[in-house]
Amino acid sequence: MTRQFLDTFRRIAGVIAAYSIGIVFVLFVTGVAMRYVFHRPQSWIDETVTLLTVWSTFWTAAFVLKWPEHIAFDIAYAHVSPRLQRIFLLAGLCAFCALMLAAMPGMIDYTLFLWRERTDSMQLRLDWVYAIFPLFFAVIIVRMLFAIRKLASRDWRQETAHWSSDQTGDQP
Amino acid sequence: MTTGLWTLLAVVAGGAVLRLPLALVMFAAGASYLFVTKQDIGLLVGQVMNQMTAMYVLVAIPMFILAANIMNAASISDRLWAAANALVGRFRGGMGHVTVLVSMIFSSMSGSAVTDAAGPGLVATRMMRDIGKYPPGLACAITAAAATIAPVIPPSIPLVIYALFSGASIGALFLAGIVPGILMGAALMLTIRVVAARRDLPVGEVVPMREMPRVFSRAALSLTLPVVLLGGIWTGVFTPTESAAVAAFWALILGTVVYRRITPATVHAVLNESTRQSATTMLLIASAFILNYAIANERLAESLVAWITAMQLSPMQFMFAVNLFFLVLGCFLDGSVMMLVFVPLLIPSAKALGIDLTYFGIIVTLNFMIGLITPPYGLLLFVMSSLTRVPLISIIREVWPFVLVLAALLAILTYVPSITLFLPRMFGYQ
Repeated sequence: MTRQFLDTFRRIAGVIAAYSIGIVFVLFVTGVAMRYVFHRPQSWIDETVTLLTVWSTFWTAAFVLKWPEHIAFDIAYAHVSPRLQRIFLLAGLCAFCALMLAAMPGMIDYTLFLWRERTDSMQLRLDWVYAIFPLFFAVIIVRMLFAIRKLASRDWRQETAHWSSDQTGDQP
Repeated sequence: MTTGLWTLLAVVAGGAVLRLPLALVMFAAGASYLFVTKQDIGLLVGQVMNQMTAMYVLVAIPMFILAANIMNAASISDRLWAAANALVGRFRGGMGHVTVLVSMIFSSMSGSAVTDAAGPGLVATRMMRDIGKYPPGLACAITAAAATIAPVIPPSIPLVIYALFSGASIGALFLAGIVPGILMGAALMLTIRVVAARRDLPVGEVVPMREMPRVFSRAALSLTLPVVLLGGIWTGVFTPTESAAVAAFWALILGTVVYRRITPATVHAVLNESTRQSATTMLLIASAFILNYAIANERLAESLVAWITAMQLSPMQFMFAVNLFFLVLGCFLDGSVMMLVFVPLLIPSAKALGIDLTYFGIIVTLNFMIGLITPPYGLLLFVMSSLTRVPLISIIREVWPFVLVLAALLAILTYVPSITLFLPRMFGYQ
């Protein structure tokens, strides 16, 4: 049930991510056309494409990218036994989660504090604009906790194999 | 070195060895630095988001990736292959020459070596292996080496990133890349000539003269892409950032209306692929902002300037030291990490020595491109191996002559800056 829900959610997140880049593309072309063909430059377009790109980056990285799709240094990992790979991942993921969980309250505080600030062109609230950053870390931590649970279970070999797979594996 | 800096280095090294994604490792290193130096952890949000939302140029990166993926889907690679084959296919090792020529033409439309390898590169490898009967390792090595030209000939994603951190003009950088890119192509073709004679590679097919007009007319419309792209930038009709979207738009028109190869399903696949590719690159850039904050806070670049001044290095000695440093580092590190972390650190020293930042940008980019095909950690070698299922070791065995030739070219370009700079100067960039 949970698995099905996660898969559906990930598919929807993927569609949102893909179309956000499509929207950036359409807006860009519209911007050039408005400026050079119709001589009516639209300043909001520059801000929208920048913010949409930033949101799309963190959204995709949080919800869509699988672990092996991230750029990583895997020379050491690829050359050790699966047992050692399990220890590598458990150590790295636990340390990352502990560190970023400790950082979360400070990051959320900082973001909430920005409620009075606005973006230059469209006057959007900055706390809303910046919220994607702590949200990104929250999702990454949750996904890492899933990975840690699997590494601690009897099926740990599936997880170590997934991290060394070539962008084809599946994960929660 | 301070405790903060030691912590930063330890987290980067530890996290990377444990195989955590590099971007997350860099965020974690930044967070640890802020904790250890007792600064507000909210700076992590501030530093990353303030810079990301203020950098309009960054949007060029997903757009260039999208443009290249649309071009691949629009069968532009196949048409370019046929035209290049008519030109240089008839020589010994003809298919190798065609691969390099196609890569050079595709480079003037795309800005990423990996997209070049995955698009026209894959077509080329199949042709060399299946029709030309080249050893699979050699076919992959030639393709990987040819793909390194993509980010040197404009447009170029690494040059956009470099401009972002150095303040150098994108227009000047794009002009400066043209001659070195063409020289890279010529050097690779010469190497293929020698390898072909030694390995007795077959002579390619001769396309009869009466076939030429048909072959070239099929590719002619694709060749308008670089004209639109670069012409637009240099005449000021659109900015380099916008040029990426215009290129994607032009390729989409060609693919849907003219070539009729792009369907709604293809568009979805292209958008999906482009989002994923651009998110990995952009996340790494985002994480570099917090790392660069720590480096600036530690005044590391200033210490480096003082150290280099004390050593009384000449600009040329400095440049050769930089080359050596990056070539060695390139064997183990990803080019984007070097560009995002080490280049900003070296720019103040280059400025202090009076080195032209456009020339510096081209030289470091060429270094990273060589790094992409230098074993053991050469991203393009991995990409080719995973796309073609050719064992990595057989590609590595064949790639050395190309690495050495490109390194020799790098030395010449470093020693004679005017090869790189005469074109931007001709167009009035100082």
